[in-house]
Amino acid sequence: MDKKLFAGVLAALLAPLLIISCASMNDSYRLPEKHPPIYEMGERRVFCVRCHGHETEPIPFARYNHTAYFTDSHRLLAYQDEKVCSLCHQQSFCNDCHVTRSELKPSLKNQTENFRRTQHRGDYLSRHRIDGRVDPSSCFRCHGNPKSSKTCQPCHGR
Amino acid sequence: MGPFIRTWLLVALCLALACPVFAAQPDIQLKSDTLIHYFERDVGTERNNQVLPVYEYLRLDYRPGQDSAASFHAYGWMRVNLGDDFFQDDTQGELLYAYLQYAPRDRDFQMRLGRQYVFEGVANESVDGLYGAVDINPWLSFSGYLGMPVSLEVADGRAGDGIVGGRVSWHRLGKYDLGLSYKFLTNDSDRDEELAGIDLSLGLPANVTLLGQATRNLLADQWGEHSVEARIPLWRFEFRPQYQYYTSDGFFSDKDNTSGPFRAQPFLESDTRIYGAEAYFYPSEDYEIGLKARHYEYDKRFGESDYLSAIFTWKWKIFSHFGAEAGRMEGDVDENRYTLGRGFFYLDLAPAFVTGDVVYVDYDEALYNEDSSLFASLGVGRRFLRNALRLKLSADYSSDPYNDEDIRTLLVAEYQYDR
Repeated sequence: MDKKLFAGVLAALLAPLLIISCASMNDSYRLPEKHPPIYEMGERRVFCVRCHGHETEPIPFARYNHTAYFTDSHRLLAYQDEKVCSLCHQQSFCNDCHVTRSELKPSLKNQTENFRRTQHRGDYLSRHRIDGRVDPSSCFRCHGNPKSSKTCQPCHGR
Repeated sequence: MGPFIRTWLLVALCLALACPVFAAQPDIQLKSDTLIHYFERDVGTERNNQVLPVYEYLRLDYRPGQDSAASFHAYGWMRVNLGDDFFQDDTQGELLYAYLQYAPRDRDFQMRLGRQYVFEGVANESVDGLYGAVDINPWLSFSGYLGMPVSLEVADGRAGDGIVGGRVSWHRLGKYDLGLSYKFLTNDSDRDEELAGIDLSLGLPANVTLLGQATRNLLADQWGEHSVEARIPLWRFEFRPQYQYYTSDGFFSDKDNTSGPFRAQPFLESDTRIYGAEAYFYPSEDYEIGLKARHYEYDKRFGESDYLSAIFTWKWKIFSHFGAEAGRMEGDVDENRYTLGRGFFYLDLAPAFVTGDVVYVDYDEALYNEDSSLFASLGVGRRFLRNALRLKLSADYSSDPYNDEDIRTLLVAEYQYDR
């Protein structure tokens, strides 16, 4: 067997044992599995702080308020606290934008949910020429690999 | 075998493998989104072609019992085109995730096996493989993944493709979180990507938060990105100064795991610094006013750019709201300048709703002899069968440099089965 493959398989087998043995030593706060759906909690669409206040323990709730530009600026939070996101959002929700390959742009798949302010709303085909020149890093983050750029390739090439 | 059939065969296989694990009293959620999209395609003849793609998004969540640690999750989409040959392939599809998860409720670890999306530190990847995460004690967490990257094109099989990475985090809930992460990706046995990253969140006095991330490209031996943001709440205001720095050689890549649109573009050869800020004002619980400003500087390109945006939202019910947005992109030359205006509303008339959206953009330099674009969308919807079924219909109008007064419709049927 190839040495690298053997090492990989060995690591894959040992990792679960390490994880299980380590986790049994922890007695810290555990996040609940799910947050109750917000539309079952009253009439108003609210920020986290309306119920949780500005307490920072066990988690800093104000950090997760879905403000007007939250769609643009949630990246730094999500990379650290994916577990908090998953209290309310299944992975499929994130996959509307963060996906290896999709044909429908997020704003079209969720056409009537305009309050989500998903990317590429309206005539983005024209606008992306400017946004892309001004800040190409904003395109690359989601469309940077061969599969996720399928919709770019007819015009931009493979 | 095409990707369409291969995708759904894989879903069926995962389900078949999962079935023996799951016993009686299962907890099943099945969510189906069927989208029928109709639009016309201008082919330069007297009659436009009719395009009628039908999309199906299917999600399954399966747990053998309420207290079970094991579960199975799958999600994917497929498309069939009932209209002309607008698409290169009549059918398409993608399995976005399908994994078995083991996560005991009274333990602090989870494991996933299968196709899954990993968001952590420098990882923003779809992986076919194994993922594990554990909180070793209240201050230390570890996660890791190993498998094959889904993002690469399948050419001559997937031999030599691999991805491995993880994140170690030193933290105290609500106070600080310092993470070190790593990702290594091979494509046909070539090192195509090797990243290391540092991420930080830090709670300061007066509820001030500091967030940051830095990414080191180990192949290019350069920093790729530095991002830092502060969040400063003050009475009914919040102020968020931000700074981002991207290097062209460290952030972008010319390896096989990068796509064509990001190679050989002259504006990609410049490092970019972004100075910005967001500010929010909440005069009452029903109103939100947001401002966003960005200033872009480049080391090689001529000129700088600015973007300024404002959003006003009035919310008077759980979903009901009215909003307006204005934005101005002020690039270095006319071709990089536009003004955007948007108005939108959502009326929650449970079990029905009405929604509308208008986006108008004025371009300082015309594109294909058009100096503006107008997009308008009107939608209605209603819930049926004790909210298990939701039907939504929207009609869009678009007049822009690429579409000449196009009308498009979208009919969506969302069905959720819970047991």
